[in-house]
Parts: sequence; C-alpha cells; structure tokens
Amino acid sequence: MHEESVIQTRGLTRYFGAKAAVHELNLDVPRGCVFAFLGRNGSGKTTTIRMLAGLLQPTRGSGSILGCDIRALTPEIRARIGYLTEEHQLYSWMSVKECGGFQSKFFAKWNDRIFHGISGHFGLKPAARVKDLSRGERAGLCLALTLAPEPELLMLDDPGLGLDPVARRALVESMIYLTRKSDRTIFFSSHNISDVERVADYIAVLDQSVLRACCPLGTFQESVRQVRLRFAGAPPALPKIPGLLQAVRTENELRVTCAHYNGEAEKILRALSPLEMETVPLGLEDAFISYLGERGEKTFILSEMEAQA
Amino acid sequence: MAVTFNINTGSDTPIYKQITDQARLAVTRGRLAVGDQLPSVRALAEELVVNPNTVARAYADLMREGLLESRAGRGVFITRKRKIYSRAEGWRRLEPLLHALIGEAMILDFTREELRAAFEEKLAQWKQPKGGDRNDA
Amino acid sequence: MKALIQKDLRENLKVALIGLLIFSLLLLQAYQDSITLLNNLLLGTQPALFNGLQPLLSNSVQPEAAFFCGIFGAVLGWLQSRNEAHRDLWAFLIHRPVTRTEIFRGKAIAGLCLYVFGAGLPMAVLVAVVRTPGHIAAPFEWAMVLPLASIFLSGVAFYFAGWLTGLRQARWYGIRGLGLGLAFIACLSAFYFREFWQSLIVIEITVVILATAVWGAYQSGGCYRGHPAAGRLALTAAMAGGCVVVLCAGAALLMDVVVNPLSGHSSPVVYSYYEMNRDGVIYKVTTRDNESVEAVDLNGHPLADATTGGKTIRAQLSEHQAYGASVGTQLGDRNMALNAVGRRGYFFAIQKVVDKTIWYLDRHGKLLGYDSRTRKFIGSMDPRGSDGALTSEGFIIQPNDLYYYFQPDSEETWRYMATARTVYRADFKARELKPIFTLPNDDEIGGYAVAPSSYDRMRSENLLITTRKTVCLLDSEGRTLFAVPYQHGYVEYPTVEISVLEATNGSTANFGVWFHPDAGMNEKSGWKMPVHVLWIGPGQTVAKTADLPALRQPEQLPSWPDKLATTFLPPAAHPAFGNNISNHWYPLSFAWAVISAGIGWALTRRYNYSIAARVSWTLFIFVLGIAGLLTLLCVQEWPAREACPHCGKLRAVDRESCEHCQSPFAPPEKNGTEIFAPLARE
Repeated sequence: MHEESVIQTRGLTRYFGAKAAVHELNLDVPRGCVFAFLGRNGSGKTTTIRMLAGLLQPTRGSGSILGCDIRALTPEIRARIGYLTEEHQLYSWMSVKECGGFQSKFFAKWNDRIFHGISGHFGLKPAARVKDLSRGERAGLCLALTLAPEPELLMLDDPGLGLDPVARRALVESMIYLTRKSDRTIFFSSHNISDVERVADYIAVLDQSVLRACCPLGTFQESVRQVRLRFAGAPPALPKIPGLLQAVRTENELRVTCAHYNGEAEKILRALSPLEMETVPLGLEDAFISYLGERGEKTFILSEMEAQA
Repeated sequence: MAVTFNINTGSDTPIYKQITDQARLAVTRGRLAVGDQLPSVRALAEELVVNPNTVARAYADLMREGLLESRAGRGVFITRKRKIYSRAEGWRRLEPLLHALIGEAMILDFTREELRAAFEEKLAQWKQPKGGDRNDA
Repeated sequence: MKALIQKDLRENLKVALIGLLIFSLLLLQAYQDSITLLNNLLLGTQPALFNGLQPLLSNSVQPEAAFFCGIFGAVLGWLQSRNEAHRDLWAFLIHRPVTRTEIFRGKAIAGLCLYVFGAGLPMAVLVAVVRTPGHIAAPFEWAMVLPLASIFLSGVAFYFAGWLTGLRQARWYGIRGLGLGLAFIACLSAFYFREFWQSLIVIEITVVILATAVWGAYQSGGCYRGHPAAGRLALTAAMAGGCVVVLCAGAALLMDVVVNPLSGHSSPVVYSYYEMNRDGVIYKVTTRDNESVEAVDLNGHPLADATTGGKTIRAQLSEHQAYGASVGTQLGDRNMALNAVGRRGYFFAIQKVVDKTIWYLDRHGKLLGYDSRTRKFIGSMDPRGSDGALTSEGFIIQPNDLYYYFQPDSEETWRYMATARTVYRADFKARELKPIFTLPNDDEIGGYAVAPSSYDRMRSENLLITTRKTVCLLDSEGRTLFAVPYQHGYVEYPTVEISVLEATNGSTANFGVWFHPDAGMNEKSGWKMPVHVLWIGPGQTVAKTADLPALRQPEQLPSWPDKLATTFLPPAAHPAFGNNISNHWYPLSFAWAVISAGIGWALTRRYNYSIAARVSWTLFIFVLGIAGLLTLLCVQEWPAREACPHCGKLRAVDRESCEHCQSPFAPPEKNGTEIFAPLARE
C-alpha cells in the first residue's frame, strides 16, 4: 500500500485578469481513493483540473502529479493519467471504431477488451460517427477511450454533466468497477451530490476559488448540523456563532445551520431560551447547499417579495 | 440472498448507516437468520452501486456489534447476537421507538386502553427468530 | 505520431482538394492564355508582351500564384488549428503520451504534405507540360521555374502564419494575425529579389520564425510566459514583422486616402533637355509637368515667336525635328539590359515572326526558332566564325530587344544582329546570317541601333555602332559612312546618339553625334560633365564640336504627407530610402523611436522585469520605432497587481514573493467554517 499522494498542490493559484479563479490551493490526494472535488459553478474546479492536467499554466504555486511537476508533464506520466473533460469533445468526423483505433496507437498499454466492454455497455455501434452520437453516448465513448489504457489516475471534470440518468448510472458503475484495483485513484468534480455520495471516499470543497473543506465524506456530513429552535413568539436576534452557515427565521422558529456544531455553539443557542431545541441531521445534498449557499441570515426571497406587494 | 438492501441517496442517514440499519431490521424481522451469508464487500458495493469502502464500514460496524462475523476464505455470515449492550444502552435505544409509537397512537385518537390491549396481543403472537434471546415465547 | 499525421491528413484533405482544383484551373487558364496570345501574335492584332507566351513567366500567373499560395497556405494552416479550437478537443489532443514537439511535428508534416499536394502538384504538372515539346512555342529553361518556386515556398510562410492565427494564445484575434504580416514580407521577397537564392534566404528565415512561434504555442498552456525561450523570441519576431507591415501599410493608406487628397497637388516636375533639328541647330527645351513651355537655342534665342502663328512649341519643334538613333554601350556590364528590365529577369525576347515561325533571342544570346503551328522548336541560327565554324558566341542583347511590338505594315523579314565582333544581317525568311562587318581582334562591339537613311522614304537601314574605341555608322552592306573615335570613353559617356541631318539652311553637316554622360556619375560630380556634340560634315570629317552644359535629371520629391508617413518608420529603415527623405525629417523619426523606447522602459519597469529584460526590450523598441512598442504591447501579458499586506505596495500576482519586501503571499483568510480532517488510510 503506497502512502504517497498522487496529486499534490502547494499554493496553486491562477488569475484570469485581475480576478483569482483559484487561490492558494493546497491539496493532497492519497493513492487509491475516490476523491470528489465540489464547488459551485465558477468556483475554480475546472481551472484546477486543467492546471493539474498541464493544460493551463498556474499564475503561481506548484503542483505535482504522480511525482511529476505539472508545469512539465512528461509523456510517460501522461500515459498513466486518464483525463476526461466535461464536454466530451472528440473529432466529430471519426467513427467509434476509428476513435478507438486512433487512440490505441498512442498507448503501449491498450486494453481492447475494456474499450469494447465500455462502448458496448453504453450501446455504441462501431460505425457510428461521433457527430451522430447523443451526449450520453459520447460520454461513454470518451470514458471507454480514457479507461482502455488502464491509467493509474483518472481525472474527470464533471463527467456526468448533461447525461441522462441511465448514462449517469453507467458512469458511476464504471467508476466503482475501477476501484477493484487498489492502486487506482479517481479524482473527479461533480455537481451531482447523490452520485458523489455513492462513490466518493473524500471530498474537497472550493468556495469562490478558496479551499474550504477537505475531509472524508462522512466527516463532512457529520460536521454540518442544523439546529431547530422553537420560540413562543418571534425569535430573538441571532448572536454571533462560530461556524455559522445559515439561519432561517420563520414566525416562531429559528433554524440555524452551522459547521462544527459543538458545546460552545450549543451554549450560545441555549442562552436564547427557546421552548424547544433539537438537532436535525442533514442529508449530504442539504449540507452541501447550506455550506456553499449564501451565508448569514436569510428569509425566503419569494415571501419577502409577497410581503412587499 | 434473503434480503435486498435498498439505499437512498440524499437522505439524512448516511449510506453506511442505512445498510447497518437494514441489516439489523432484517435480522429482527426474521429475514436473516444466524448462519446466513451476506454478499462480499465488493459484490454488495457493485450491486448497490456504492463505494466499497462504505460497505466495508457498514460491515465493520456490524461486526463490532456482534451481528456479523467474517470466516476466513468463506465470506461474512450472520452470527449470534451477543449481549453487548448494557441495559441502560438498550433502554436508550428503545426509548425513541416507544415515544414514536405512543405519540402516533395518540394522534390517531387511540385510547390508552386500546393501545395496551393491542400491545399485549402483539407480544403474545410474537414469534422468536432462531438463535434467539433470553425470552422464549 | 503516424496516427496523428494520418488523422490530420484525413481531416484536412477536403481543403487541399479544393485548393488543388482552384489552382489547377488557374494554371490551366494561364496555359490557355498563352495559346491565345500566340494566336493573337500571329494575327497581328495586338502588341505582344512576349512573357505571356511562356505561361511560367506571364505577368498574370505570378501574382495569381502568389495570391493563391498565400491564401491557400494561410487557410490550410488556420483550419488545421481550428480543428482543435474547442479547448476540450485541444485537451484531447495534447493529453497523450507524446511530447508537444511531436504533436507539432506530426501536424506540420501533414499540413505541409497537403500544401505540396494542393499548390505544388499543379505547378509541377504545368512545368511538365511546358517542357514537353509541342505545347508551348517559347524557350524553356529550368531557371524559369524559380520565380514560381519562390512563390510556392513563400506560401509555406503563410501556412505557418495562418496556423499561428488560429491558435488561441494571444489576447485577441487581431494580434495573432500579425504573423501574416511577416509572411507577406516573405511573399514580397519572392518578387523583389533578382536572384532566387536571395529570396530563398528571406523566406527561410520567415518560415523558421513562424514555425518556431507555432511550436512554442504548443509547448505552453496558452500564455506567453509559458513558452520556451525560442518560442517567445520567434513570436516576438513574428509580431514585430506584422507590426512593421501594418504600420507601413497603415501610414501609406492614411496618406494616400486621407491626407494627400486634402493637401492638394504635389510640386510640379520641371526639367530640361536638348534637341537638334534637321538643320543641326540645338535647342534647350524646358518642360513643366510634361508640357513644353520653352525652347532656347545655344545663343539664347527662343524658339517661340509671335510671328510663327500660334503653334505650340512642341508642334514647332517636331516640324523640323531630326530623327536618329541612340545606343547604350554595354561594355562595362554585358547584362546591363537584362538587369534593367526588372526583378524577375529577362529570359527571351521576340525578334521576328516570319512564316509562322517565331524567332526568339534568349538571355544566353542564342537565336531560337519555334514553329507556331506545331509549337515545337525547329532550330537556331548560330553565328559562324571567320573560318566558317560555329562559334559559341552569343548575340548581344540590348534594351531595345526587350520590347517587341508587332508592326502590321512592316514586311521586313530581316534585322541586324551583332555578336561581340561581327555585325550580321539576319534574314529570317531564308534563315541565314550574313556577316556584313567585322571588327579587328582588339575591339568589341558595345551596342548598335538602326538609324534612318533618309527622310523622304523613312527607311531605317543604316546602323549606328559603338565599340570600345569608335563610333561608326554603317549602311546596309556594311560600308562605313563615318567613324569617329569614342570621345572620352564609354565608361563616362555610355550613351551615344546620332541625329540625321538634312539641312535647309545651308549647313553641310550630315550627322550630329551626341555623347551623353552617365547620369549617376554626373550627379556625383555635381552635374559638371558636359554633353559633347560633334557635327559630321561631308567626307566624314568633323565639322564642328560643342560642349553643352549638363542638365539636371528631374527629381521627384515626395510630398510632405509622404515624408510625414516615413517618419513612422524606424530610424534604421531610413538609409534604405536614401534620397527620398530630406534630412530634417530624420530627427522626427528618431524622436518617435526615443519616445516609444521611453514608454517601453516605463512599462517594463512598472511590472518589475529583470534589468536584462528591460534593457533588451528598450533597445528592441528603439531599433524598430513605433512598431517595436506595438510589438511589446501585443506580445507581453501584464499580470494583475495586488497590494501587499506587508509593505503596502502593488505587487505582481505571478511571483512567489513580493518584489519589494520579499514576503510570500498570505494564504486566504479563514472564516470559521472550514472543515479539514486528515485523509487517513484505514
């Protein structure tokens, strides 16, 4: 069992113009895990993955993949990395068979069985042209092309984007199949929290270009808690709570979501003297939404508009 | 297998906990008997389409509880439930179920007498699963 | 890599086929045009520009080929890079276990093969057709292929420039297109230089620069800083070339379209020349904007007279104008006529068309005959030495030979031709060369021209010859009508003219002989070399001589808008323009260069470049002037700057530590909601 990280970044930063898309990212991805990279649209996930794949120069900072500096990836290292982009772009004039033929000539280690297995799994006909394939079929083809060289590290940038549920399920199944070999690592970004919940060991969360969380999946879910306080009348003003994510105020309830809910936070809430106080567990998706949603206190926007009308 | 696991994503219960809960419930309901084999970690993971580590964690919890044991080279099997809960622990686990049952009955406008009678009847009818507990019906 | 080559070949084959088709049609049209020209020549319906008889040399084929090769090359390169325009498809291409250099090489090989296929194949077929007897009734030499070859090669520069334009590595499209400016320079060099090897060098340099720039783009992830050093230099050079071209073109356009029409007409062109009338009287004629305004004789009496009844000066002069002939003595440089014709070189000229046979004088001095019906070579007329054996001497080629105008009413089937020592009468009907005059061994013919023998019949049968030592006039049998020593030598006085006189005022002079000084030498000496004139009387004696003061050649001074435009050029370019820029515009150009260099220095200092980078950029901008500054702006990327928390000054975000206080960048602030836990293995 290897202990080293397959992906390691130190202070990785990328600016577009005057704005930082990725800000001082420090990441360590251990070998053999399934690592999910989460964040809202525009938070820097794709930029990070492109930098890791050596397609985009970082503005500053460093990173390494399989021990090789990302600014200078050698062909040998590239042979061991599988990279799948979210658009699943291929040469539209090639047929499925030609894609396989083209790709196979570049890799010494090409497993034809895997290629045909996965294309078959997605229902691809060898003579079909890429431009005639649906999005899901194209995703399957890209996956087949990426997995056939049996890479050690698989980097997927939002692989399930735009896929129908059947194709998405086939994708997740392929990812789980990959974990059969214990030295294979999967690093992927996604917006689909239910798939992430199924398949990920660890997650990292980017919030507006900054890394805010990097932990096992269970730890994240346990760390984000919602506390419901019921009051006789209107709830009082909310004091400052460490780790506060969101608070929702209704007629006589206050729902507070915070990260690292612990004794100190509990004490502060009890001091408000609610009638009832209970901790509500959150599903991963709700936890994620609270984590990355608007911080601070909010009322539901539509009821506000109604009130004004 | 005598039991099919059914997991949901997006629920407030983590997946591994769903697996352990369902396993425990199956044992309680009698669907799983002592000596029944559960699928291997990998087989269940691929069947449920979840990360094998999740299944491994569930199995590890069940083994810690004493519900599951691993036999070298053969697989994982349901085993005799050993009394590892203290009484206080047991009451703690029972308390929320009692609260829920009584609360629901009150909402449905059952009287206490009706509830008590139904409870006694159910208890009388209860069939124990094999390899049972200290009460033999 | 073979798979990559095959893929690119397959992907871009359509473009190449379309190009092949278009170019084949163009060249086929050129071939057809030459046949049409041949037919027209035989019918005598128009003056023949003889170049067109050889499709490889026609005046339309070369610009058309340049146009096609440039556009085809650029489009091919551009499409080849647009194939991976989508950034995910680019990722698909790049992320494979081959080096970026191999990817570049594979694509380049495929693209160049397609270019050769689309642009080279039609040219090769044309050459093959032309070489095969029976197709083209004109001489063929392998050197004739060189102009088209250099045009073909300049298309390679356009290929790489087009490729560069399609790569998303500059901030906006227009900048990447500047590489085309450099390719344009390559194309111009194919036309500008006389020798093939000269244009080849320029083209090679531009191809290397552009190809290296493309290679560099493939190495980097898309920003300038990521390019290897060679790539950066090449990109800078390509952009610089483009900026220079754009600047020049822009300045010229601005001046021609906007400023010149507004500023009014340029200064008039005034110059004077000498003319002799049939009485032997010389007038000095002054023209203003090509209109004769004044004629004064050597004693100062003007020609214009109220009593002559209102005719223009030009009309009065031409009534009595003496005709004659003029010869340029080519002893100094045998190729003078060829060199004077223009950059592309002269290969042949038509001497006569007789009995449907076209007689050409090629540049080696051989007289070649082609049958216009079969379009085949039928033989040559070669001079024989005094012992009757064929000599290897070629005929002298003169400037007059290079312009053939078919005169429908001229039925002469002979003309004078000369080798270095012998004058022949070439009879094209009988296909015979008859020597009529031979020089002694120590002398050489410098030039010859036919002169009128008399005015009432206007026949031109006399021949004016200049040799190293003498100037003489022969009749059609080769008898000398007069001979005089060559005054002051042919080096200083290369042009000799005679005026045939038929005096009505009692003068007995038969001929006037002029010795004109070399214009270049005269200018250098400050216009001090006079024009010598002799009058030849009966008995071949010199009746009179005169030395006339030299007349300045007309100077075409550029207008002030053009001068202003040239100040945009870098100071280094001014010597190339020589006399066209008067001295007090030069400091202005210098000033532009200094200002640009100053701005460049300020910019590089603001972004804290290393001293070496600052100095080299400033020098670069100074040498290239405004174009250099534009290149800096195009090529450099300016990193964002943020305030340093330690020292408060603005620091570039792409350095690991602040350039003022060396403190590293701080990690982002925590907000209390971070969830970090060790990623342990179980």
